[in-house]
Amino acid sequence: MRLSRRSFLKGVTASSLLAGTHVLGSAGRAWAAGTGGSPVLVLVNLVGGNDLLNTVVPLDDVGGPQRSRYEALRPNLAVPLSALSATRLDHDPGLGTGLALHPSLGGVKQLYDEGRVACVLGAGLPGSSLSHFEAEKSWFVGRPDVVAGATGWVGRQLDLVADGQPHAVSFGGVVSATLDSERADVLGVRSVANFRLPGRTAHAALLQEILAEGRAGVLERVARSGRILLDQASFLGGIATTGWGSHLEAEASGPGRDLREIAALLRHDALDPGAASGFGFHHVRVFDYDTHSRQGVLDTSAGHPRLLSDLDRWLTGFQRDLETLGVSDRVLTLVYSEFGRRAAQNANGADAGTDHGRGGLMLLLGDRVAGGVHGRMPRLDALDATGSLAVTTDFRTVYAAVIDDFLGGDHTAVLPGAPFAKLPLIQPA
Amino acid sequence: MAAGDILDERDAAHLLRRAGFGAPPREVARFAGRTRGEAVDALLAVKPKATRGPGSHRGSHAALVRLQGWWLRRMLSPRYRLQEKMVLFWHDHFPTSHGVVARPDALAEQNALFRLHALGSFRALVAGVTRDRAMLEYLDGRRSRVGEVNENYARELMELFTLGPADEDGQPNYSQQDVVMLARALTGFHYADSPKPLVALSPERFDAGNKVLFEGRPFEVSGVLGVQHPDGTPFPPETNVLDALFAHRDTRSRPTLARFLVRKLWAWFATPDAGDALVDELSAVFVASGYEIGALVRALLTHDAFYAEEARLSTPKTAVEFATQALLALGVKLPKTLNDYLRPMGMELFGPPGVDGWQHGPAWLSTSRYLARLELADAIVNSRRGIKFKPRVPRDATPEALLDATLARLGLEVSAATRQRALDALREDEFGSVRWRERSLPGLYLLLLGSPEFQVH
Repeated sequence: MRLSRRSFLKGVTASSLLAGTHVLGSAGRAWAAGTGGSPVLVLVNLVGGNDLLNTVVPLDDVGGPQRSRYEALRPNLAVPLSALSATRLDHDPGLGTGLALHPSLGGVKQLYDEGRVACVLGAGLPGSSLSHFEAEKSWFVGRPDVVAGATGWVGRQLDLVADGQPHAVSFGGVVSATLDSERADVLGVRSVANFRLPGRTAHAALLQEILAEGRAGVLERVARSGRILLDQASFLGGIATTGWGSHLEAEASGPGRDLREIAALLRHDALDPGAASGFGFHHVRVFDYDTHSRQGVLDTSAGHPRLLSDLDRWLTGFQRDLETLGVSDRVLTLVYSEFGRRAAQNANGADAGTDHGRGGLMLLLGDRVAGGVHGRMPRLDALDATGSLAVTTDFRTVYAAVIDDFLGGDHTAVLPGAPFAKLPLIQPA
Repeated sequence: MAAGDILDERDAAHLLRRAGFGAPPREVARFAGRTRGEAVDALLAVKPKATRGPGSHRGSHAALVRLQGWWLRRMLSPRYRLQEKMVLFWHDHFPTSHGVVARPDALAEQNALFRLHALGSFRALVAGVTRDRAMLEYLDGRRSRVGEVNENYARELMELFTLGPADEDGQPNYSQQDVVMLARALTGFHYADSPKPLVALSPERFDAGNKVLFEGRPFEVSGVLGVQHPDGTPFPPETNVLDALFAHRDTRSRPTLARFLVRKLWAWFATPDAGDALVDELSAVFVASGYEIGALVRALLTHDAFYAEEARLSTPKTAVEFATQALLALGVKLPKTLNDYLRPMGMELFGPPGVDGWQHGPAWLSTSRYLARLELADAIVNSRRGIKFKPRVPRDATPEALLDATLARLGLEVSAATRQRALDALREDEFGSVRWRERSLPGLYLLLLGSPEFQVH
């Protein structure tokens, strides 16, 4: 199966290059082949609503009562100034209050100092829903008014260059709605290391033929998934996911393992461009950000500090892997969450947590990122009617920058309501 | 009585797959020939009891596996199939995950609550879930008190459990103010962290202030809204706030909660989308019954649309349905290792991925989940990992006869081309030889269990 895949991919590479010239323009050609030099986008979804205020913490009252309001709103949740000296962000004082990353994000702070991290503050859509499911749908789909059956914003980008081969991998087994598309195939992967077909090759070949029969509707959707599975299994099963010195070697499961396996795929592609995976998009989920209670402040054994400390280890290890592999100049990691949380804590003492809010945080990591703080910290003396931080950055201005300036695409073909004023987040290659 | 009202074998197999977890051929034969009503009444004839699985105060992986195994065994018992199918529905509808609530006793208690009300009163079920220990932990109700209101449960109670965020015209069913008002009305529940905790509603923790819910709408309620409980409370609130959810009407004055639940139950049992006319009809039944779940389920499972051709092969099986149907059809005993397979198939019991339960439809057949199904199929057909499968091959069988019998057993209808592939597998080695039993015969079952047709029902 490996050989047939290799030869098939060769054909695909040629045809998509051709398609790029004649039909799709440079947008498609830039990454469709998925081989050397083409950009790779890694999306990391913090599921549940990450708390902006305790991830990027206000330090003073410059330009408005930020720190003092923060401490008043969160008597049991405010990160003390004494813990923030090492993670203070160097940024334009014109933006107002001084800011620091949560002390658990020391590794990300190091990357920030190297100019490889952009923090986008107050991200969301104005007036967005406080429901997880409505809010995340608008992030996935890339529009405020969610219509039934809508495809994801990345899925539409995939549709533009669909060529019969999967170019996206969704970790966690089920495919993220961000990658939902009309024509493109997306691989749901629980673990690359375990992506091997059981049973005898002869039976796999017969099953392949059964899956190839003509079907319609839901049966065809199922059969199609089976066909991709059989086509990819021997290939993915042959990827070396460990044993090559990954900084995430010890991550046996979860998002850290997912990111290591993405690095392993990139390593494979770099070592053997002739049999490259063709994957230009990856999606990873990190659960448990819905911190309604026992959110915690500094203790990294539980709560939000633990979530951030894990995230810090994973993002930093992944970035270091990319550098070691020599591919960090073409990989962008985009971290997002469906909303930020309420400004005020919802209980006293150790039970304190925060309810659903609005303005949140996006992080972009990579060599191509224009590092620094982007967007304005929502003002704590001007909360909205629900007591949430206001949305100060429309996330579509970030999507537009990623599509145009990183993927080399055209955001007006992907995002409804375009054009959007792009944030200057990506440096020229 | 219309002749169409009598179940043939195909209808009976359809009913037992959807209203239960599948069945061996002799069970299907027992249901064939009955009227729809007789068959469904037989499925409904289970005493409502809060039968509880094993689970102690202290959480451990072994304790969780015991509880999961206990529940799976009940699912496979012919007597309880519809009851357990409903318990699984309620677990999906009112999810709690062992990742958050690492207390097997609380999970077993909640599971027993679902069993008690599985086919009973939806009002009683909502009241029970609202003061259920696992739910109070999962969605933070136990931490919500006057002055320190936690909105988590109140929001999901409306959005996911009873009303939905918006009606069928896209109009919001409630506002953020309603979430806050409902959350205040639901304050006061708590329990101690002890081996046998009792959930109590305490006046000190309850927000006894005035509240207005659904302000400005015809079904607005106000006053000291709270939860009344049949056992009595130390301070009966003036108005039972849960009743307000049942009194909610959409912008066309139709019962919101009934329509919401009818759509979800129809998708669970029949097809992904109930048409509007069907929702009108079934929600009228539900309301007229006083929100009796059994009455709604009976109307649903005897309905023409449930037996219509469009309802067959319309819906991807959940992972549990795939596994149980394979085990029951092939006469394989429940293996202790089944949960190791359910997890990668995306459906660990007591481990739904989020507060909205499991994602249904084609999501069940993502590539990695399809792969996990093939892994279970492979373990079954080769009797691996504690699984014992003894294929029955009559002495005088031919490959064709064996294939036909197996297709019937699995309730499968496949194309001529698929038949040919299965026969190719069966003819790889000399028919009936040892080598054939070890190599060719497993191939037949693997191909059929792995076929797209067996993933859908």
